Amino acid sequence: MPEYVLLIGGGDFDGLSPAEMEAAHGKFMDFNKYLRENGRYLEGVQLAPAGKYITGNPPVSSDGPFAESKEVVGGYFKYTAANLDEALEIAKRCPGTLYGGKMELRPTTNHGGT
Amino acid sequence: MEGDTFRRHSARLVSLLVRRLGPSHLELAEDAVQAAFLAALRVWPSRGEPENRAGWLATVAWREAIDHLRREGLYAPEAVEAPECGGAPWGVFDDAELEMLFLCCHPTLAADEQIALILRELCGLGTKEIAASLLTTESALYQRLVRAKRRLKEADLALPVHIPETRWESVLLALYLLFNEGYASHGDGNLISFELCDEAIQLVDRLTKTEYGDRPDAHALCGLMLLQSSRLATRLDANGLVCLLEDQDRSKWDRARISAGVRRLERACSGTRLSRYHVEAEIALQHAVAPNFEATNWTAVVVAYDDLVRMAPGPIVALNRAIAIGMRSGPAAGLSELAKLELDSNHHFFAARATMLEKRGCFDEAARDYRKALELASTEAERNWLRHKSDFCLRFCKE
Repeated sequence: MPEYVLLIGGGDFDGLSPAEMEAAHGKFMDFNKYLRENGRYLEGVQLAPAGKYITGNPPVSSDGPFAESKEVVGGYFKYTAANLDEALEIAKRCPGTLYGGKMELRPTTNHGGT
Repeated sequence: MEGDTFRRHSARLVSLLVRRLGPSHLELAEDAVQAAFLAALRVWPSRGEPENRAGWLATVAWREAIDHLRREGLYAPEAVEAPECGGAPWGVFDDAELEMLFLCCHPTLAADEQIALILRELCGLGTKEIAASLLTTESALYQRLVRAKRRLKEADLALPVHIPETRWESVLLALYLLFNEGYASHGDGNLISFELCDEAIQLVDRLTKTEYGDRPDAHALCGLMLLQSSRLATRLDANGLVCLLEDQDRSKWDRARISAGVRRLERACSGTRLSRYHVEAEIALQHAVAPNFEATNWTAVVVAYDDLVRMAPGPIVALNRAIAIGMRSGPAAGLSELAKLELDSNHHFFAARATMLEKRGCFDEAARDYRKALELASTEAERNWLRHKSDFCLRFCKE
């Protein structure tokens, strides 16, 4: 089955109350569970907030990214779906767009995608 | 697991951190706990939830706090253990949340600042939730909390071993207000928030179990809360309409709570001082033991209200006394008591007057008063009920 990667980032959970954060957390756990129970789950990775930027030739590193940046990737899910439409339906179950977040869905080039 | 919610963890952890770091670091404690929740959001979904959520959160929050202190160059005690492993109380209580309660009731804070701070720190509610509850805007509430925390930073926070009576009064009143928030939560949405009621009860209960807190007025307050909360399941009917005391299905009242309340009142009977909580508990008790609304001992209720009007005077107490007089002696007597009050911005007043007018058969006046109450009511559940009553009376007028 074709594979898809769903990139998630930019959601701002900082101003939320404990109850709101718990609800958001529950939704992520539910999405995880949904993928696993339906045999779609391949990978789910969350990224720590800071690491390094590396640019240039020769490569030079600097501290980053910073949490304030809205374009920062917070993590991704990799899952299987019959086609892009189905992958999209699945993606819409993910709470990654809560609180200003954005998601990006892309097929991988394994299993026939180009 | 009960109590294993983020909200409860927030309350517990902020209290523990304040105990460990000192009350002047309240904001640091809040920030550290918030950071721990954000970390949980980042880590738990992929790594799996830890078996001991409380311990995980405490460890991360503690580390955040210590890192902050080190970055600021502030002396940090060799505190490598998480706050669960002890910490000297800065006040007189072993229980960190009770200490937090006393902190939130510091005399430098106004009453509305105290209740806002308690809802934030001891109940783990967010600014939006608290603002809705206290009928204010989120930004006004936020400013209120900022002011309160600033005042605490500037105040002498040491709690004397002999806690002044004024502080006790503030603390018990704050708990009473907290319970009332839960009982008739003003935010649009639920009229009732069971959890806040139970949290208020638990705090009073723990208070009475301490050396200093074993006092008759605290026991009376606890009894009052138990008796009133026994009715919570029947406050709204199947259609989400407010169900008044007279219409509630008494078979659904929590009899175990009523018994617990009665037992608690027995413990409140020591000493020589009668508090307002004793009197209010007496009223709640009369309702709890009456088989139905009509058969309530209204004479006893009016006598209790006569006491309460002296001890805790205020428009709502006067209103409730007038209602009780109406029940004891008939709607004409009730209406003449109501006529002595000036409560033109309170929907309970118009609703009460409407009810008495309705009983006297004055349907068009009753409908007018129900509509007045409808304009002023603050929750959807009450508005539904008032609309329903107004329509009912209008139908009688037309006939």
